[in-house]
Amino acid sequence: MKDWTLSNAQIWVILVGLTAVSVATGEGRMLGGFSTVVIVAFAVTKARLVVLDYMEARHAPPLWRWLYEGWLAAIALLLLVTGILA
Amino acid sequence: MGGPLFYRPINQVSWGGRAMNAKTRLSGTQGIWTFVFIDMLVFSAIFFVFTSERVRLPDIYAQSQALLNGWLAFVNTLVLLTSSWAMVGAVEAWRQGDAKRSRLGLLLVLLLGVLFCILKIVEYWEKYEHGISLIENSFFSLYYFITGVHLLHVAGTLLFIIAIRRRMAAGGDAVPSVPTVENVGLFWHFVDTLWIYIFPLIYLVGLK
Repeated sequence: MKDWTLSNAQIWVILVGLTAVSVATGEGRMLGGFSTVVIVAFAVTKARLVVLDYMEARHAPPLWRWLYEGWLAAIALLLLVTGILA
Repeated sequence: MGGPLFYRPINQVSWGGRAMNAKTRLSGTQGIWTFVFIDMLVFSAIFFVFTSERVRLPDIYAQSQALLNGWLAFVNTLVLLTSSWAMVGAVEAWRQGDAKRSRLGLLLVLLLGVLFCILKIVEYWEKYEHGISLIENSFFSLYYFITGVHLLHVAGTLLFIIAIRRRMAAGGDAVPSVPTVENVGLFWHFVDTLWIYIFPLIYLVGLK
């Protein structure tokens, strides 16, 4: 299988793109109640890219990587559940 | 700390004065990873208070959220994301021994960081002009607290960036080590990560 990685510039483009779509979804009230799911999914994707690639947690010893990824997942779940409940 | 899960000294080779192996490599020092994780836990508690208050007072939170300037926060998000990209370049340049490019990258981070602070102050000023203070209601108390603590993180890291740029320029014994520059970079990326969550938390989720 071909081993591929995103360049830092490509990651930045993805981060900006996801941010723009999140804002359009939220500010435009485009998807109603489903917008919370989209906004949180994009936020955790962005946060993972920064932590794994810019902070280089992808190559860090496993416990550090999983502690950080666990935090990202926990906060995303908190946002998602309370966003839907409210 | 120092157990095998945190640090695996297999096939050790030098990387910025630390042990590493072909599969795992720790950018920066163990200390910064610990410090950032403690900070993450502190923010978890703050985020929990905000979200539980949103569930308790959904109408007040929705009405208050509608008074925020989401577009200013959007621009600030782009500013921080771009600064993180510049920081990656600065750290990589320092690893390669290219001080000039590293200092240039850090200067860009510095300018973008200052821009973030200015835009945040403009946002606070807008609220002040509309008579919205930090004791307005639960939403605005937490809005000022969360964004204010984050702003302090940004400003504090900017001071470290100024310091290492000066040390890079000074040369000799003052020159910062690779892990020192990586540590500052890691904390900057963490500040960016925090904002990636603060932005939807306060400005986007729950808009009606």
